[in-house]
Amino acid sequence: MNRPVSISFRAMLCGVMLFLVFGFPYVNSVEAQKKKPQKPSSKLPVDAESVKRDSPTKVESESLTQVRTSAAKIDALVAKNYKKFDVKPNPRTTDEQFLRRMYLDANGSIPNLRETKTFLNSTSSTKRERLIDFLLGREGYVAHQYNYWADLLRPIDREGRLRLIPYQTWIKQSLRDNKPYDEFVSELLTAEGKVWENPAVGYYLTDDGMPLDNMNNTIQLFLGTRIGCAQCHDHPFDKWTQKEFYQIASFTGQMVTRSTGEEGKAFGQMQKQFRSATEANSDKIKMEGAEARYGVVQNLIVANRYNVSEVSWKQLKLPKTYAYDDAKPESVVQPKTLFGEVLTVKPGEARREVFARWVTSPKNPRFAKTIANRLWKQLMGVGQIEPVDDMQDGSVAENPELMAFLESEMIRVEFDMKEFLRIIMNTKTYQRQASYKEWDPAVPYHFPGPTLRRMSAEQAWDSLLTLAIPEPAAYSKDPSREYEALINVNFSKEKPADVLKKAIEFDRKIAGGKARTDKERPYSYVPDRDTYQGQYVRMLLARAYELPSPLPPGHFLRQFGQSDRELIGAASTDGSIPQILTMLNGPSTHMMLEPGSEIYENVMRERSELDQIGVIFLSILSRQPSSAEKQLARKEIKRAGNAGYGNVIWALVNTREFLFVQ
Amino acid sequence: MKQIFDQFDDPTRRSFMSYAAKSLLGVSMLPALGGIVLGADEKKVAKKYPGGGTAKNVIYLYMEGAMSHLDTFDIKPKSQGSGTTQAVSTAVPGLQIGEHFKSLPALMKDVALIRSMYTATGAHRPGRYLMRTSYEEIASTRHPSLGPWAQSFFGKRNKTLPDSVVISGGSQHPSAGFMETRFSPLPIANAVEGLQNASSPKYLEDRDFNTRMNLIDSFDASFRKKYDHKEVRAYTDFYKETVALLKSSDLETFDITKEPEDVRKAYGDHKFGQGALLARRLIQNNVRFVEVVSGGWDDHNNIYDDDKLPQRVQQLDQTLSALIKDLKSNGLFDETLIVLATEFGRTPRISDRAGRDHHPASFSCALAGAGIKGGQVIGKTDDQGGTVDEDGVMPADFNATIAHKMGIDLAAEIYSPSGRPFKVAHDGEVIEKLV
Repeated sequence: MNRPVSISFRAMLCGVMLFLVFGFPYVNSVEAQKKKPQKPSSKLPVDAESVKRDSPTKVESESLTQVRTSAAKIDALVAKNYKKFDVKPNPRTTDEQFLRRMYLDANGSIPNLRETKTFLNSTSSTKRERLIDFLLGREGYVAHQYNYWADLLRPIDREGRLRLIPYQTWIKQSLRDNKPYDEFVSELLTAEGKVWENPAVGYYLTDDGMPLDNMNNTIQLFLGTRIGCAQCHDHPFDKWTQKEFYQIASFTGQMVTRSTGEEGKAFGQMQKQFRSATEANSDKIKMEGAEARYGVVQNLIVANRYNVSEVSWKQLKLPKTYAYDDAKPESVVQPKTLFGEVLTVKPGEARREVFARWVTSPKNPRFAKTIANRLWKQLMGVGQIEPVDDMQDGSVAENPELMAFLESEMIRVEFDMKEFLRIIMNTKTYQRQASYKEWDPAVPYHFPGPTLRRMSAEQAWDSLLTLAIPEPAAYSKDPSREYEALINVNFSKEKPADVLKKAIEFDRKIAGGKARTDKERPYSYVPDRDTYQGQYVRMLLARAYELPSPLPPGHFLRQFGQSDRELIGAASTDGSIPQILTMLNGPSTHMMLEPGSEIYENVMRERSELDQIGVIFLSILSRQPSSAEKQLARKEIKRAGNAGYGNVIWALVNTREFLFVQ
Repeated sequence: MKQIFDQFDDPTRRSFMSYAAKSLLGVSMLPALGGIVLGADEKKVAKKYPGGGTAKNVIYLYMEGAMSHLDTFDIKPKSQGSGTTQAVSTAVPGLQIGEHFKSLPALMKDVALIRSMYTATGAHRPGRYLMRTSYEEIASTRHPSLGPWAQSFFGKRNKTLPDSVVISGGSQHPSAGFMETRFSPLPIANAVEGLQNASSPKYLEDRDFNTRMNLIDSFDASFRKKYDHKEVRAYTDFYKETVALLKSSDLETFDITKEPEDVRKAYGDHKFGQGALLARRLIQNNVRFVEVVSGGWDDHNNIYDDDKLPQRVQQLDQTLSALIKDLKSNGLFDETLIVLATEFGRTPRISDRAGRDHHPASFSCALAGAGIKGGQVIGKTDDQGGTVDEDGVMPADFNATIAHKMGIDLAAEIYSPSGRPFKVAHDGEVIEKLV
């Protein structure tokens, strides 16, 4: 239980620096203040070069008129239902509420003090519009949207012996480039090659070995439809037959995920050579002064074999147990589209190309609708159609006319997700206060405003970082480049001894054992999946989207409900005792009581007690304190001296107001 | 159920039924199924079963990812898809289980196997949900798992400790479902670490801690008043519970390093083993229902690699055997129900990736302790282990058996906030031969 915290935190929490000026009532605070502030950010591992990223695509100022028109249309449609169902809309958000929600929804974290002051002090009549456009053009947009997609696509660092790090990088870059959604999906569905050549193959490799489940996931993710039941028998609650399931699955039925042909043979031969070179009893291979266990070489070889392609000889067959009259068990199934447009595979066409065309076509009745509904829900808290990934023919939207308009907007903006979000963010509907009454899933919700939501795990983590360090985005690495250099081997050209040396290097830096330090393995922050022991406590102060995936179960993000990346949409916002313990006693809240933390420095910069209290409230809750709150804070500071500041900060971070998005 | 089926036109319904009867469920299941499918309008009279209420505690071992029945408890050595796992004899004459079990064979007189489990879905998420709740996952509500059900019936047994705990669970446990959050199982990420951050910073004295708690309350009052939502209230409850726990001596329960080294070793030096040991400590301290998850059973590829199925079965063997022995030596075996569950089975053939895929039509589960009649096998699968031939058991029936052993009234209905009635094991029926 008393496990050591990370090196950096041990330094922070033990020793002299532990004597928190804010939190420690018995230390001479003047003494502590004299010490040179030690910023937590300076303790970030510096063993790898930070990557300079491209700037994310900005929204176009010319389209603002159109955005306003579309937003107004949405508001009009929403208002129709207010009237129809006698709903009283919520009041408009105050600037404070809007600012905070906008940052959380677009940037993935609360605003910092400077940002808060800038916005609140601005007298511009268009400051909301401008804030939206500003935030959509920042890296925070990439971070926040990545967290959303990571919950759905489950891009883990590892599949078997292969690490899917390049796939994670690719998803981020696609968001940064604001790649149109239809292209994004199409690239996922047609990807070929190795993960470092074409990282989008990560989509298929994530479900490697489960092609039928993968198809099930594809239809659920991108077409909002669940056909999974039909994998084993005709769907009992929807219309899909088992045969239809196999027909659609046949579109990926010719895909293989390992190298074939000459390359496949070269792998086999290399493996054989190493096996015969392995010393009996010792499991060791020695060549030209290099030495390693057979398993070390095996890791590299196997990881190199992952290679997605389509082959003509492979066929999908019905299962042996197929029990319906319309086809024989174990007969070959030809691809056939499921609904909407009928597309057939012509000679010379790759099946997955045709499939991707069908899925992502504006004519597909569920493609644009699903993504429009998902993004609506992302901002409003509830979908027009619920659940967003289980549409049936009989599913009716809360407001069918609005749903149809959202769908047509998605097509009009040519699947530009950023532009679509921008439109919704500019609606009056979105800019209303969160509903005071809780949403009951069994009762239709008519959008008097967005619902109240607990921050996602990532929003909570990134917000705490915003309070603790000046530049939460400073940590930016791209391990995928290093990964490629270390892993890529041409087995038909390279000599066994060179492969062995490479395998040792690969093992040391990426795949390797336990005794190595972080510095030696800058990119191997993937924890040991079996023990997790002694691994995760390096509480790396980087934004959630820079961290490994999945994280070990005890990490702050997992405690607060980040997905374990096993199943689609597994993130949760439920509370638990371990979460509260972390908030009360964990390093993630205590780091901000340290000299050198962002909030500490900002408070210290102020001269008057009232201004200091103002800074605390603005930093944590993005609003000024009420007069009662001011009084209470002053009383506490009077009672406990400097420790009182710490107590106020600590208490505010522990409020529901902090954790929930109004 | 009736309404759902009525939506179909006749041919669809018939084809589903005939298929279900033919290959998914086993013909002998028709009577039970008929009751559901035909939507018999008559209200079932609550049946009285013997042997209820003997399980004061439950330790629920969940094999996440779908455990291969064909390599564990339902070995078919002569079938085409048998794989490499050989059968070994056990202390029960005529009963054989997989060879990777080394200690368990000697203890099988205490264990009852169910070889005729089958379920409605071959997808992990719905499968896990159904197994833990007896209900299919739907959008409009979330159903509670068994621990919260028990708490809602009997109240909390320990003042400060939660009534149920989930160890090493994933991020999608159905948890308390629609029930208030105070019924939620406490999640423990890693048994070895126990409850993290359970001690206040050393500089903080009790007095200051209380001050801080009061400050939270005051600063938060207006927000809580404005947003009187279930989710917000839940957090307020969690803060209260956490503070009570922090001040309680029960906190030590979560620290397995307090156990003697040889006991820790006996359970196995792995997450699952240490989780089961923590479970025993918890039930000793009046926690009613503890679930321990063993992950990674989804063997689509290379199932017989040393670090895959064989290793997990060996760990299961070590841990389950140690648990049975330990409970016996502590006098807890007769009041503690040990459950071994998973979401579905695996295909009765080895795929071209040297693995086994999902197979909802047949799988195995097990029960032991709390007066369960051990040494017997419920149900039977066909020669291949692919379909259920006799005495089919659905997740709801399995859960009905557990709930009955715990003394929960199977007929009692609890209403969700939206006013819909739910029962602890849906319409499941107790496996009478076991109780």
